[in-house]
Amino acid sequence: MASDTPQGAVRTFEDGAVRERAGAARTLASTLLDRHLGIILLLPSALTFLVLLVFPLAYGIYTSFFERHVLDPEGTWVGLGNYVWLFTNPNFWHSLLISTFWAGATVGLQIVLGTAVALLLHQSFQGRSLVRGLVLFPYMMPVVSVILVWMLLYNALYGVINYVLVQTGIVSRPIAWLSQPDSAFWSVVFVGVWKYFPFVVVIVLARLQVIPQDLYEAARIDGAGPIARFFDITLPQLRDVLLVVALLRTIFMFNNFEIVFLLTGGGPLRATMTLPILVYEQAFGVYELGRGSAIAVVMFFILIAVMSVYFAFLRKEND
Amino acid sequence: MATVRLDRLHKEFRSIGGAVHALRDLTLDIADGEFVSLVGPSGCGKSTALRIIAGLETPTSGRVLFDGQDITGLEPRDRNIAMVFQSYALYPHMSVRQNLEYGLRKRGVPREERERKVAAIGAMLQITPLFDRRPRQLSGGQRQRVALGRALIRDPAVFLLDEPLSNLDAKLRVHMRAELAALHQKVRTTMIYVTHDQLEAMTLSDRIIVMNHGVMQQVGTPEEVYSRPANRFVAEFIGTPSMNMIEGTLRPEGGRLLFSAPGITVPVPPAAARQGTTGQATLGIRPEDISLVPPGTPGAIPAQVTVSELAGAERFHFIALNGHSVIVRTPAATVLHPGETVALGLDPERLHLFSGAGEDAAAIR
Repeated sequence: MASDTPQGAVRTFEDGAVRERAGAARTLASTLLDRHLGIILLLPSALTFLVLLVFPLAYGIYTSFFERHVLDPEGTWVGLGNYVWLFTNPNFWHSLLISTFWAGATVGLQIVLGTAVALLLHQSFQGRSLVRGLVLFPYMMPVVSVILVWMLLYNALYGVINYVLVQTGIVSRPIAWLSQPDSAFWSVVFVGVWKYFPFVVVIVLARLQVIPQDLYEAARIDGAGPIARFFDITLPQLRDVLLVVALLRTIFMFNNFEIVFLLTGGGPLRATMTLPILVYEQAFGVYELGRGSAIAVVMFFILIAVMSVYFAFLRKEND
Repeated sequence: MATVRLDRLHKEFRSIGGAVHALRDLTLDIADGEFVSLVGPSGCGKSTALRIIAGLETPTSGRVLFDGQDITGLEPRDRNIAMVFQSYALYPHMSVRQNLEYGLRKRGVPREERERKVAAIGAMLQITPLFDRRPRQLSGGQRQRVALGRALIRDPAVFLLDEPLSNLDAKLRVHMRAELAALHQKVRTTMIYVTHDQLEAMTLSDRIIVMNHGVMQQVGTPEEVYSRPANRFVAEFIGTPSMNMIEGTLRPEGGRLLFSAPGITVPVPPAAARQGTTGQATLGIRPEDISLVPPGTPGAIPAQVTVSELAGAERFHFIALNGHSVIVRTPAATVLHPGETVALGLDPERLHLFSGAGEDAAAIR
């Protein structure tokens, strides 16, 4: 409080000096600067945001109201026609289902596997730093190389997986992993989990390291064994990061295109035809840009819905 | 309630750089219902000792006995102890009520009994209105009380407190200190208290254990460690401001033993003189045992005031005495000015003498 007076005195002195020098001759520019300084400072980032985010999004929505293809780049206004086609098309509903399963299965397994590995890497053992580095390997490898490796591993004729399974007598004949609807879906899920679970490991491990050791000691004294300590201390402490991870991974996996497309292209028999591949098929397979945009717009709103649920949940938690 | 015996406890932490001895041969008997404090600077081994008693750490050698029973190998939950942590360690995702009853729940105490005990503890510590709050919605003092409640609710045989007041602000600390003392009067459980704050140890304890570098320096009542410190370290650690120390020599002269340092010669009290120690020694005298005397008084030591500090009801004067600096404690009404020459009188009965100059120099009594 005591410092208010000298500060105030200084301000009065400066105001006086400015008044003396500039008098009434304040220019329009400086008035503008004074009044709108905040807006002017925000403008560059706001414009970037507009050009890079809002425009493509708005253009995508705009395109979804047209029948537009390579031969007709101007397009014909069809209103909600593309959406009517979409919602009455069984392929769309099938892909929505596949996408939901794909995102659910990969995210769920990534979280379980990622958390388990993080818990292991949180223990102290010889060579822990090396193992922590190696675990990141799948995440750091370019997708295309990962897919090439897994295609070789999965290969029905000379793949290592089949070789091992046949040699050990687990199966009698090689399995065509990527050519049968059921096995194709789970094979693709497996690669999705393998490629991205290190992301969960990194975040969970970071959180594990800052859980106060005191909590575990207090629980030990209170009579909690290792399992009780995991469920009563570790898991509640991880809960917040796991929710964020689940949200981020769901958005990412729901939109993921390259893993599924490069491994199976959406087949066999549409068994792995997720929505992003359906968009690709419509936009660049049969050149129906309008329909492709319409599917993308629907995906966008589905993810908005998922996020709203998440944030509503978060707000309720904080209250 | 239980007696606690620490039997030659030794703890080494091994690392690439070599072994660190956190605790060396600590032997101690604590009576049933006693309040003892382990006090010392950081790294003196006091927390290690407490963690070994709790079972959170295993001693390299030695035993811990409760009521004569060896419990060294038991898990913390099987020792019937409770502990209050410096950080309180309340479970952040649980309400106050859940925090309190967690230990009972894990021990399979039936619901009715849990509720009864939680209600009793809530009333005792006046935290009933906070039952549905989470720890982060509580103030420091309230958290402290919940942590105490969580420890008390199980009726432990031994109550361990690891610097429980150090996260509180100064005013609240004094208040909680008094509450802790009252609580001990009420429950009469054996309490072992770790602190680096000698004032907390002095005010709360039946007995104080002063530690340094993993070694027990002295055990005694607060009066004993204050007025009869066993060595120079204890003398300097206990008491604020610290005891004044002047290094010099002991030499016999004319049938008496004299302590002399440049500009100071003091006769040694007969009891200490009988031990016949001579050579290098340190003279210790508490700031309140130095008096300002009229100039010319026989035996007075002339000195110069450097700085005077007012500390409420009293004043601390920093005084230069032939190259030594001593602190003198007087009532606030005694005003001295920097540069002023004063005469100091030392009460021979209140002098402490230590043989040698290091912090482990033993007292000559």
